[in-house]
Amino acid sequence: MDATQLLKGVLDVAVLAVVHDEDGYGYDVVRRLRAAGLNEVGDASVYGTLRRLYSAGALTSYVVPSEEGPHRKYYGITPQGRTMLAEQRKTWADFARTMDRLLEGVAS
Amino acid sequence: MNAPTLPAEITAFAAAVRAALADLPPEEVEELTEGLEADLAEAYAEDLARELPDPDGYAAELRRAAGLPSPERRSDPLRRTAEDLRSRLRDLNLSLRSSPAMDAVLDFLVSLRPAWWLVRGWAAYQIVGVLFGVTGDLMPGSLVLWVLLGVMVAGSVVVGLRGWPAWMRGLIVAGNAFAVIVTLSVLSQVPTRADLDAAWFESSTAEMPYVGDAGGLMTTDGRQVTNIFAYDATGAPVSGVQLFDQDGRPLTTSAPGGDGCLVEFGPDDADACTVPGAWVPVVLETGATAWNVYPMRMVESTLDDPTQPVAGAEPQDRPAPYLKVPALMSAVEDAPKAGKKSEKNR
Repeated sequence: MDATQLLKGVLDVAVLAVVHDEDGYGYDVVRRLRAAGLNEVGDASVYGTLRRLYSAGALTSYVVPSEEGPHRKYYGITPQGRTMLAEQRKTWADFARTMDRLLEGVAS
Repeated sequence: MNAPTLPAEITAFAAAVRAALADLPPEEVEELTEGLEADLAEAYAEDLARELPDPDGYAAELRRAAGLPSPERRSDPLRRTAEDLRSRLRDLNLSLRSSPAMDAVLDFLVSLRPAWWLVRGWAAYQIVGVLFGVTGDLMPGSLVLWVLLGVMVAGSVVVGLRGWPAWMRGLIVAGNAFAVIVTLSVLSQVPTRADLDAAWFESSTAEMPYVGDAGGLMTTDGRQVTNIFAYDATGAPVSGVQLFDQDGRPLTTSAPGGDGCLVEFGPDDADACTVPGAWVPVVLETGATAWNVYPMRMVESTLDDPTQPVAGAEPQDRPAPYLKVPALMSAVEDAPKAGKKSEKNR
């Protein structure tokens, strides 16, 4: 099983979790996800997800001009995003527990 | 947005990604790709060995992750053709840039873009000028036109400097093509040095050139020479004298069809003309018409059409200024001989 396939389903909650800690711009979010161990994550997938979460009202965005280069677009979490994160965290926890139980049963 | 610190590949890549998203509303593309250059630049600064992915695949991933429709769902034949053309151009660009020499040449051409903006502004000035009928000249002839040119050039530079949504870029490409056509067609009408030389040669070797320097007419003391009266060595008037200049060109005082005054109001008032007249050429044995035979005769014409003889009017001799002029000293000293000669001439 390919981890990229799994990632698709949980990228929303992963991105929300990262931005929840601290506002971030596109590549910054990618870096933090990879640092957390999600090496397979694609840049464009993350940028697209940020954009979609923004459209859904879970994130705010603001542009920070840069002196020496192109400006950066930062994303921050909204109250709606926090609610979404809490719900998805619970969904993930239930799902993970279920899967763990299922797979442990196979192993033993 | 396109700061000079950005590598050209990143700018090109971001542009290709935007092009692949061109079917989306411009605001959506802007939202989706804002900050793209900064992210890319940082990613590739971190890992220089990393290769840029395929922009189409990258755009598709962006689109999918953002939950936006794929382009197939809304593509129509025209758009497909445009996208096909774009991707071909992109492939061409990439394959050309694989050679370092071509890469340098292309970069150089890209660096010439500001010069093109100036030319485009000038082309816009030409178009506006033609539309308003104020100019046919290459460069403005008045302050107002200079201001117009300045506005056009400034507008062209603004168009060149700013980033535009996809639909505007289409318009700009069409406008550029039009500007190229206008520029080439205007420039093709500019006479070259060779054209000017040829034109001069033609006019100077024309069958019947004007002579002199006052507007091409022969003058003495600022007054126009309209006819020439010749007298022989004994001082007697001569008719049918054919005159040529040092280069063998016919010496003429009147263009073919030139007009003058048959009956003047008064001897000192040349401007007041009672009866206009047209100069009459002489027919040579070759059948050619000669305008360099003096004294020239004149035929009555009308004020309405001074060069057109009145039907049935006969050519008339013009009054000579002198019936006889002093003979040459040599002719007087050898009187009998000169007399005989003059008899023969009669």
